Amino acid sequence: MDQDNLIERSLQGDLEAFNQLVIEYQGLAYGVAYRLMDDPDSAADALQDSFIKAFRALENYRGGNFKSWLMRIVVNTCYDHLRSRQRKRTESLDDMPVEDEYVTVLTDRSETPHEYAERRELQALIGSAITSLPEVLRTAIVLRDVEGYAYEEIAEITSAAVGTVKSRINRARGRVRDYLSKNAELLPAVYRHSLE
Amino acid sequence: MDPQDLNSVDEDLVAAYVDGDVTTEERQRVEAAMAASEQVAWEVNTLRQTVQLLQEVPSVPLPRSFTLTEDQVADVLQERRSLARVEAPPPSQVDSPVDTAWQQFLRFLNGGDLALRNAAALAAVLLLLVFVAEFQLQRTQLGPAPGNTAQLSSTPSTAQETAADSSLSEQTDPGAGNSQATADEGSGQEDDDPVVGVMSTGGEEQSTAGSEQEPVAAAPVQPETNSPAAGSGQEQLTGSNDADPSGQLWVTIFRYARILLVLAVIVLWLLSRTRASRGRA
Repeated sequence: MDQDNLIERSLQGDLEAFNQLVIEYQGLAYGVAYRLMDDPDSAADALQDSFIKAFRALENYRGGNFKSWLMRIVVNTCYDHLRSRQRKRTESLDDMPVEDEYVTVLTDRSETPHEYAERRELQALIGSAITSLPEVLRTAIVLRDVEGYAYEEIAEITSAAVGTVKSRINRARGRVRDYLSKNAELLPAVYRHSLE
Repeated sequence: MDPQDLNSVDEDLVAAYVDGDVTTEERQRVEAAMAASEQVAWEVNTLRQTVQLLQEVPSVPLPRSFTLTEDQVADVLQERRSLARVEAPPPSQVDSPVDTAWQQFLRFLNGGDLALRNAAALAAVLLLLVFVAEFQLQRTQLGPAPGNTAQLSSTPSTAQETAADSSLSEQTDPGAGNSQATADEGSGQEDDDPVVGVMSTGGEEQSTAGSEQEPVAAAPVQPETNSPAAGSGQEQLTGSNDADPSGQLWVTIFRYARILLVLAVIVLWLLSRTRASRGRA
């Protein structure tokens, strides 16, 4: 169904219409939330909160790219949750990273357990590298290099100029590279050699 | 292009180059700088490798559906739905933007508090029943005797005789009053007599008594046509004073019932409108 029609019906109190939009975008939005927060449970909480906020703020949507409008809410909500979590964080076992289930990260069933462990470590390293970035750089690199958004879309989502977005992306890439190079033994050989 | 000299403009250019989103001229600029400086080449190549690594990060599976439930946004839903109801035109307006007078009349009747409106409608139905019952009672009291009708219409002389006979016993014969209606129907020439109307609606003895002189006075004007019927009419009118007492009681009951029901319809309907207006306010 036409997206504008779904939005219009949502504004008239048709929750089913809005849920069709949720179904359409929840995959993309969860990917972004997960990469920004580097934690599945936190990402799920933030995403649910994002959709509730989006429904409540639908009157403020003034047309244009709905996906960008929605992703801006998702990004901002993720950072709100991160800041809130940092304030509440205490040194307890609950805050320790929880190991993902094997099945959720397994993409190649032909790989050996050793290869799987290496890939898990590499992904964890990349996740840590991304989360080590300042918010604006993290958003830029996640949207561009992980999720594949265009510069213009990122500019809309982050309310920044395209030139600024490119600049942030470049700086974010440089910082991730530097972070990864400190753990070169976990990197693929090709990448490790290029760093030398 | 020395990496130490990479300013913001060059950062834009390097990012775009790594992504392959540059013009031919821009690509030549970057590649010339890479050729001129190993450091720049290293910078660009390692960034490209980093992007490749990031792009190989697998997508994460959706852990669950994030569709909203009514409870999560109940307040907003209620607000939007009530607003949509107010803004949406009623279906009748959508179908026909300009209402006919009949539609306006129906909407006017349908307005107001439902319970009180139904009570008013019930009272109106009862009022109608009272009218019907009263009419039936009247027909029973004043209705034509088939034999008399035949007499008046076919043989005026016989009717005259009947009238003469009945004048002797008019005070005791309650059925004589029926002849009046019979005469009216039979001759068709006394229909304009106002006395008949007064009698039939009110059944009041005073009016009847006072008006029974009129046919007598009118008789000389049209003696050839009125004489038989007028004679009989006079007898009938006087004869109506001898109506059945139980019939008179019913007439009185119906009269008061009629008044009460008319008042009930008006009061209940007005109350229903008032309550509805207060409810909207």
